[in-house]
Amino acid sequence: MSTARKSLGTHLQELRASGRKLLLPFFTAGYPDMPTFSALLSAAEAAGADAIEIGLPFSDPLADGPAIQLSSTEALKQGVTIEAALKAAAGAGTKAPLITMTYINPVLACGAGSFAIQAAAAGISGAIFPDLPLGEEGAVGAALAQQGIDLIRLVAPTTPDERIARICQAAQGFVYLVSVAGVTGARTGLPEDLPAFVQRVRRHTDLPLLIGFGISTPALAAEAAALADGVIVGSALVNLISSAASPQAAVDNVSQLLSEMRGALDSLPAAQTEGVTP
Amino acid sequence: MSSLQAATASPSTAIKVKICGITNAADAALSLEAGAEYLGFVFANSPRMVSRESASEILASLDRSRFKAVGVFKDQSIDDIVAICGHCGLDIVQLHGDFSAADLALIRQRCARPLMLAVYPLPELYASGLELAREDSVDYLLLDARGLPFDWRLAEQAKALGKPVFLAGGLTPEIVRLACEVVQPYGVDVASGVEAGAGRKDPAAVRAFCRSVSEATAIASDRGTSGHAGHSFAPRGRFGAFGQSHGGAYVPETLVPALEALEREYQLAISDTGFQLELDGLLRNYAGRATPLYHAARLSSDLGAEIYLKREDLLHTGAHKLNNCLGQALLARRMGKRRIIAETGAGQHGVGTATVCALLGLDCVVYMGAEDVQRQAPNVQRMKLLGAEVRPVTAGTQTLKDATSEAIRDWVTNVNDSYYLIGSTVGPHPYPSMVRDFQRVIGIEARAQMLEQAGGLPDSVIACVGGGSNALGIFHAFLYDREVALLGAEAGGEGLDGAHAATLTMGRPGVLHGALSYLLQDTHGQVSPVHSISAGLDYPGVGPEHSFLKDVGRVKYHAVTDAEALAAFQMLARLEGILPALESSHALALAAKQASAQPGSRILVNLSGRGDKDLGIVTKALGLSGEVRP
Repeated sequence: MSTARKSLGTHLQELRASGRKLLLPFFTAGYPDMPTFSALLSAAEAAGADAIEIGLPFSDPLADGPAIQLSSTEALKQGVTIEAALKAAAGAGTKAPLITMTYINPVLACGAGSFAIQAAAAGISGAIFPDLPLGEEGAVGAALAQQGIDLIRLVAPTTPDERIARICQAAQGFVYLVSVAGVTGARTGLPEDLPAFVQRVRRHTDLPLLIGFGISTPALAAEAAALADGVIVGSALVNLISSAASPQAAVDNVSQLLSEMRGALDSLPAAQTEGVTP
Repeated sequence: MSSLQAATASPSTAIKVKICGITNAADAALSLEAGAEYLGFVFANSPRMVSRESASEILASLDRSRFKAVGVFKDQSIDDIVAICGHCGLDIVQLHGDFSAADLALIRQRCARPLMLAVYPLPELYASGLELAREDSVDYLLLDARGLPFDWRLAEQAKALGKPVFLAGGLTPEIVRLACEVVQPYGVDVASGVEAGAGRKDPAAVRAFCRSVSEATAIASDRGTSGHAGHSFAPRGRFGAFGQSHGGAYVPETLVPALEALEREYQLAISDTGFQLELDGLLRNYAGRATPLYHAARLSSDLGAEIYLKREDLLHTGAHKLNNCLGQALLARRMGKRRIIAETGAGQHGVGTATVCALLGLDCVVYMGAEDVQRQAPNVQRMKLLGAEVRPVTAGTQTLKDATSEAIRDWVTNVNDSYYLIGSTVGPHPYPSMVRDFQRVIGIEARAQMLEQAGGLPDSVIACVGGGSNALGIFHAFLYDREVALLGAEAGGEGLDGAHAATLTMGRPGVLHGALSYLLQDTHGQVSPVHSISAGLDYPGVGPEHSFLKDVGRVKYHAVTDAEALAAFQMLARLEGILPALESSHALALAAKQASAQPGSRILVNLSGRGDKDLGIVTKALGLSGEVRP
């Protein structure tokens, strides 16, 4: 185990209580290469990330759009493994909580218990599995719990209220709101029903609500964050990395976008949506 | 010894039910009411452990003439066992763990009760366990792979000792009937398989378990009429029990409500006479069911066995796929979905889907790997002519796996107005069960046709397995026919040390496309690239029910190479004037091997599709290898 960290939930809730909107960038481990990935983590933290999501690449990422598919394929070509990714993440020395995002098969192959132990040792405080809905946690849920890693739950616009209630009851750390029915990928606008969706979830939990899928610009980040407690940004960053002329340019461009997003979030009026609205 | 003699194993008696892990009087009473004749009390360390006092109290509340009380012990001292046995007045002492022959003799003598010895059918333990079970002091055997499903055929060795054998481990109300049919044990044992929670029995599950056992018993005594009663053994999408059960629904949250709605609608549809009548009518008048059963006389004489072909190649569109397409398309229409998404490998499912969409006036988008678009060009043209949009998938290996991923991505994006018409017994629950049910018609027809035309059941039934829908379709009607061997032919590609797609032979359980099942993957859980000359078998996964049937040994799976399949293709063409699909050619190649292994036996082969689509590949392969005979 690394040094005792605050729980992810506590950390995020304290930030929220201070009036801050949360910004969670996503990076595919080992993309475009391992040193640049590490540099991206540090740069993201310097640019104002409140926690960082690390994608552990899988060969068949069926919840992901082209950007993250491409980054996963590239990372796998370079031989990125869970072990190597966690080592690099731990070695980057960031203070922001780290959260893994991966499909369930690599974790099963590694062994749920072994994965949880390795992740905890690397300082991981939360884990997201896009293909592990409520009811399928099995041994993975128990293994993570044993290591004090939060299993982050996702809710989708298609999730009915009764199921949202059950998901929120099981939720730890924060609740990941999938903004739109679809796969990950940069989009140009937010869906019309997003405010209503956030309200539906808010009724069932006081945990931070973070909106992901399609958040591509500072304006969209601010618009989404105004509805909830923060945003998760993935494909937009991966696209910047893919199109950058050099690894340094990738880091610079990512820093710039995240700084602008940070600025946009910080210029929102202080949060008034705190607590559970009965 | 005579007073302690256990009942002799006799196949004609009803299979006994032993409910184990009784912790309270209510569970004991309900078990007896449901028909259990043995109650197990666990005195060893376990979530279901009872104290000797509670056990005595429970036993005192029951009519002891109606059942036998079994005490379960594991690695406990002989003094403890003797003391508890006396205190509770047990009828049978069940022993797990390390006991020597001398220990067994001593326990039996001091307890003056029959002993039931737990034998573990695990590679390193089975032989020594059976050796110990030969001891005179052992009266019953209990087969248990430490709570996990195991290859039930191993039970034969235990039965050969001539002592009553209880089958245990991973049994549930859903699979116990199959277990009874396959193993024909003296009794079956269940604990967690009928629990509502730790140490509490679920009354409905206990009753269902006992009912399943009595159904199996009834059928065993009335052989020849079995096989038609359909049932699913996949509640909540799980095939098998406990941690290793295959299936499930590992999907993005966005799809969960759609899958739940699909399952509800499917349940309603199959109990709706109108739906059934419409489907039956289309299968008969549009698709051309029943398909013939054909005794291939020249092939039979060439191979030295009686070969029967179930002619799914004669179904409209040229493959069994249409059975499922019709069923699901009617379901989609019933659910008000106007847009259909499908994946296809060889193109047969794509053609089937495009066909039913034309028939019902639905929009159709088919995802197909770019490599498959090339090698199955005729089917691409057919789909387009039928009005479907074919979207080539250039990601990954550009074959069925990537087409399936892309179809799922489309579905997750358009879940509100689109229906995903999956083509095989793969994917998240309820697809594997639903597709299987729509394909079961193959076996139901074939079984009746065999009885009528051949005068009896086949000795073996053979089908190719990619995802596994044609195989489950024909196997299901024969699952309970213990004497019928079921054989699946997987894609052995270039051979098992080269590129192949022999998932069940070479894979390990993993999750792909929403289900836990055998999967070809590397040590890091990354899905392996696979190869088969047959696009329809070129897939790294397999349906979860096949994984279950492999685990329990009901179906044997063999890898067939590209070369063997090609040879079988030519064999059928020349001997019978039938061009089989390359997929089905794998089944034919396995049939040829089976004919050599069992000359004169009766072999039923599911000829799942016709080979017109494969002419390009076959001529090219034969031309390159120079094997075209004049």
